[in-house]
Amino acid sequence: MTTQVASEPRRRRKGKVPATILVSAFLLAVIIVSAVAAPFVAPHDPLAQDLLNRSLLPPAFAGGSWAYPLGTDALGRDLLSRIIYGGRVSLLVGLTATMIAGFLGLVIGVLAGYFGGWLDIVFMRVADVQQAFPFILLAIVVMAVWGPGLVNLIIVLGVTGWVIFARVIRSLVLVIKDQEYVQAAIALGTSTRRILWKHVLPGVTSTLLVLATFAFVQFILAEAALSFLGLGVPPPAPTWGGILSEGRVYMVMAWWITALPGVAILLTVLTVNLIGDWVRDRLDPRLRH
Amino acid sequence: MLLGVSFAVFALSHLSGDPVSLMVGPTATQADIEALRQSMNLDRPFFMQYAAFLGGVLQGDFGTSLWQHQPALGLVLERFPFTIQLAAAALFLALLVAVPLGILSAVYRNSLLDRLAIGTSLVGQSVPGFWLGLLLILLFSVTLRLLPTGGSGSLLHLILPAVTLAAFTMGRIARLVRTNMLDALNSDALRTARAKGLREMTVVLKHGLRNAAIPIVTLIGLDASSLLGGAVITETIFAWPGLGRLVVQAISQRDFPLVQAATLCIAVIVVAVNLIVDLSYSFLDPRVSG
Repeated sequence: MTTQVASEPRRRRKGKVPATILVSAFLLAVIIVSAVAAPFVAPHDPLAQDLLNRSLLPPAFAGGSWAYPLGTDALGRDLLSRIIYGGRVSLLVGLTATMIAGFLGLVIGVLAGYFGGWLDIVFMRVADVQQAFPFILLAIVVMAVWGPGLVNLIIVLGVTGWVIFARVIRSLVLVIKDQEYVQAAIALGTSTRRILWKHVLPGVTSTLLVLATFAFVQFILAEAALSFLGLGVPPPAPTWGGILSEGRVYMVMAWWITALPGVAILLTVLTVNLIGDWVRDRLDPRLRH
Repeated sequence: MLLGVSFAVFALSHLSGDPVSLMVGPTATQADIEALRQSMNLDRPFFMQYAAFLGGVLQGDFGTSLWQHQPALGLVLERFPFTIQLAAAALFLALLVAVPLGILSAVYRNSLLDRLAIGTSLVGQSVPGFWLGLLLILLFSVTLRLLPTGGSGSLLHLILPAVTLAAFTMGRIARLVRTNMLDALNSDALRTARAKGLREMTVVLKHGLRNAAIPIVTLIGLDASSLLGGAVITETIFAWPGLGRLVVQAISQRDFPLVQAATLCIAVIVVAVNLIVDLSYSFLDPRVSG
């Protein structure tokens, strides 16, 4: 969602938006709107079971009924409704974790970059150590210790995700601090607080937004993987990773339960990646890698 | 660096406050808990415990697995080669596909091939690894019956997990090679090389690729971590007996000494890969020294 906000004024200035981006934005909007308005959009209650009449119905396009467009799972629950409701969890986790990670990374990056000294050394050492652990492994271990749950998941992802933000923003702040206008402001005796708010913060905003799109995507994938391993949001709450994990048992008989939630994940991640790449190229080509 | 890593691993398993309460069953009495706590030295202050843990690690003692009742280090070392094998196979596969693809799409910029390559790379980067793995099993093992669904033992067992794990890195490397080749192809050095009358093929491969080498190696260092993270998921799906699956198994058994040992081992691999990457810079680019 943040990416759309960022791309809006640019569109007017640049004039042309590639078709891929328009399609991506449209798809992403559909995913977001249906997740937000899930109770109005979903054809059925995602938790309503019917073991006798509806168990493992195939999707409509594979010989099923249009009453259950994407088929049902082993408990007779409507798959489309579960995927729509699952989007709520995934997007909520992605968004809030991104906000936490972005905020932590911004504060630490600015502090380390602007003030330097022991603060910088300590934070960057911690970042080094944390980066030695694969992100997903760290999340798995912490979730295992804390126990599954929505709030735990958001906190774990948010707190473990700060490193990339902090590193990039720190190096950017180092550059900004060296700029003549900032040095001039310092020489004129402008208060540090004013410099941070007026010069440093505006200088890192676009980078922060671009980093946020990539973090968001990483969190969506991590949430799905953790829920898949049973360490994310516990059932019966539908989540993309969770539905997939339940469907794994019936994979041979009912491929749709495994395949379709993955399509939702793929589409979300792909569209955000595409839009993120595009915004990055417009705003900040230095971040290309 | 490794000291920090060992401390992090140790602190991680103490996040819950008390590992004992996680290990004992619901029927344990207070006395049982106290006894276990004392036998594991958990009644001592935190830093004393860490010192004892570190002392043990330095002597190669990672504690005893609560689940297998064997030294944790032995179990970890048993699995270690499998993870290295899988990660190396995935990396090799990723490079094998991504480097030629990146070069071709840079040379034939904006062609149909280029567009297809970019699209595939992006999909590869966006696809959830565990989902891709399950779909591959469904297609190649269940439907076509060509490859085993999981386990290890032969080269055939390695194919599906390696492809699954390679997808993400493959996409990243292909796009990286493409952008670097584009920069290189437009550089003065290559214009000179062409002007000298060298064949286009030589120009592209010899001069272009050399420019892309350092970013590729850097990316491998950065991706070592996500490759091993992806291995955790991939190994679980394909029942590949590596470190990642060991961590997941140990977690479900609440076997924290084993989790500690395996996590530490993975972190050490990441640190080692990055060290090798740093050292390789001076080989790839003589301007970088020390």
